Amino acid sequence: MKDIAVWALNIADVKGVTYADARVVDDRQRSLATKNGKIGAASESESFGIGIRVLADGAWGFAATEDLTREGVEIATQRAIDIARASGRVKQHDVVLVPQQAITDEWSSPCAIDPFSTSIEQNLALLKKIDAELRSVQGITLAETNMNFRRYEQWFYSSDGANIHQTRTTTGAGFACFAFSGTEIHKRSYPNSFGGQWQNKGYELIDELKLLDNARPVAEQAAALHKADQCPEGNYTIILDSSQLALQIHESVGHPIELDRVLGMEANFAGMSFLTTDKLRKLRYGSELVNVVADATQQHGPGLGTFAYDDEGVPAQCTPIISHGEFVGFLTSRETASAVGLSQSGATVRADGWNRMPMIRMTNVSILPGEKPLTLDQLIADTDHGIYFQTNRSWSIDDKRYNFQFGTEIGWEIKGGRLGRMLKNPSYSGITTEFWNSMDAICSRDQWTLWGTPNCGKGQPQQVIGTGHGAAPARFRNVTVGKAYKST
Amino acid sequence: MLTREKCHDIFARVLKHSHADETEVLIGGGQSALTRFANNTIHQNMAEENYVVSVRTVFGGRNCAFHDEPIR
Repeated sequence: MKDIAVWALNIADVKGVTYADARVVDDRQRSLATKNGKIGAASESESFGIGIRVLADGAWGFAATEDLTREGVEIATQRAIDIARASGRVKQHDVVLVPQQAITDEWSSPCAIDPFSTSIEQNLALLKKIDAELRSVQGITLAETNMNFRRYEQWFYSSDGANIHQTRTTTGAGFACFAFSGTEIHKRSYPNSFGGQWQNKGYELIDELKLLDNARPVAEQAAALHKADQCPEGNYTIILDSSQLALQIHESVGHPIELDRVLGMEANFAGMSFLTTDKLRKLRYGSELVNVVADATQQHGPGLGTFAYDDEGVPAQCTPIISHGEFVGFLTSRETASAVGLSQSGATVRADGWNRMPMIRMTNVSILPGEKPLTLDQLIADTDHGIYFQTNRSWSIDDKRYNFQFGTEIGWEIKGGRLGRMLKNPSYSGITTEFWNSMDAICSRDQWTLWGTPNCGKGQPQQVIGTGHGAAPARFRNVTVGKAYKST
Repeated sequence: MLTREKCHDIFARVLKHSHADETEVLIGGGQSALTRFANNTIHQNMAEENYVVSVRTVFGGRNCAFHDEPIR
């Protein structure tokens, strides 16, 4: 692979560019799904190519090709240079990169069982068993299961001298069931909605999730929701389960801290941001208990935002974002870091393939657990009156990431420190900073889960990338509840 | 560059390795380019050459697919 990249970097050097990097990527994926006992999808794919990024005349150019012959790579490199020089003619100012030491390294995400060593037949047999178990519950009218594997192998070389080979193996799986009756449809998912749980792991994740064991109880909840009371409307104390809190972080912390959105360079698929650079170290984003980090290091866990180096060759880091409620950090790149007075990038730049230009993406944007031991049961016991929200069903947030509304699949009334009646159609809404400032409790490390969001979209052409979000159940006071759905 | 002859050749190579009841091959691709402006300047300017072969097979009424981009 080095030869292929060197062909590109040599041409870039001869043509006098300021900087160049080349990413050779081999991306293999398997995607399986069932729907009501039938195979909904069974596909494998492999994509192999090179993306060349150059900085010339103060502007970026990018070209990609699947033609990995010397001639093909050299043509693509010349195209990237031509594009950069064309862009440079209409620039407002030169793109300047903060320095980065050249690194040579090799890294693979830990993987106990290679998922591609398992057979498609074996994978489908498990999914069909889960599917059948879901449909064996009276009232279930639709069952869906899915299982996905990905091996993303990348060779990164730069004109600075970087030579990095890294491989990430990702596994994701889950199921959802629907109960349709009268004019209502209710849904329950496990272990999370919209695809289940995804992590940088091998097939061992499938074993850990215990999908089959959880099928019946989850399906019974979906059917039972038809007899549940409507979630009341009003201002309540609420507790979010860790998966819902993970999505809350993604939408109301993760997207607004992307510095390219803040600087007006990117607005597709999530808009811009209510944050401005002058709010750094001045804005009280949340309460004293709110500590959020963007952590791509392996120590944080096997999240979809875990890697050793980003797509600019910068080593993975843990960047404080909110420290004891104070807003202290953005997600940055080599280009944008200097805009907030940093001398190095936060290593958050990634592309979703060889044929896409890398951009700032969330890594693992996680809320840190409470320091004092606190289980979910203890948190509920400490709550006199409130509502417990489980498993995301819908989300809506404005293009500045300031006003939001979320719905979950199921809710539970909390009365006198105990979980009471089941509630259907629970929803809550708020304003980002007011909401995070209302957090008065968060459970401890043993209740903390690093969730994977496999479907974060950004840019044009759209790039879909996986992000990680660690969260533990947390409590928020005086939150607007129940506006989204009216009784039927 | 794809030609009708090259597509026929790819299809013949796929069919030779397929024991399925039915085999479908979809071949496509080409060059694309995109320029994006923000803050009154070009912030993304890119070009791409990419080809995709998608193979769908049917065994006893059930299907599965494989997609592979490099076709050279």
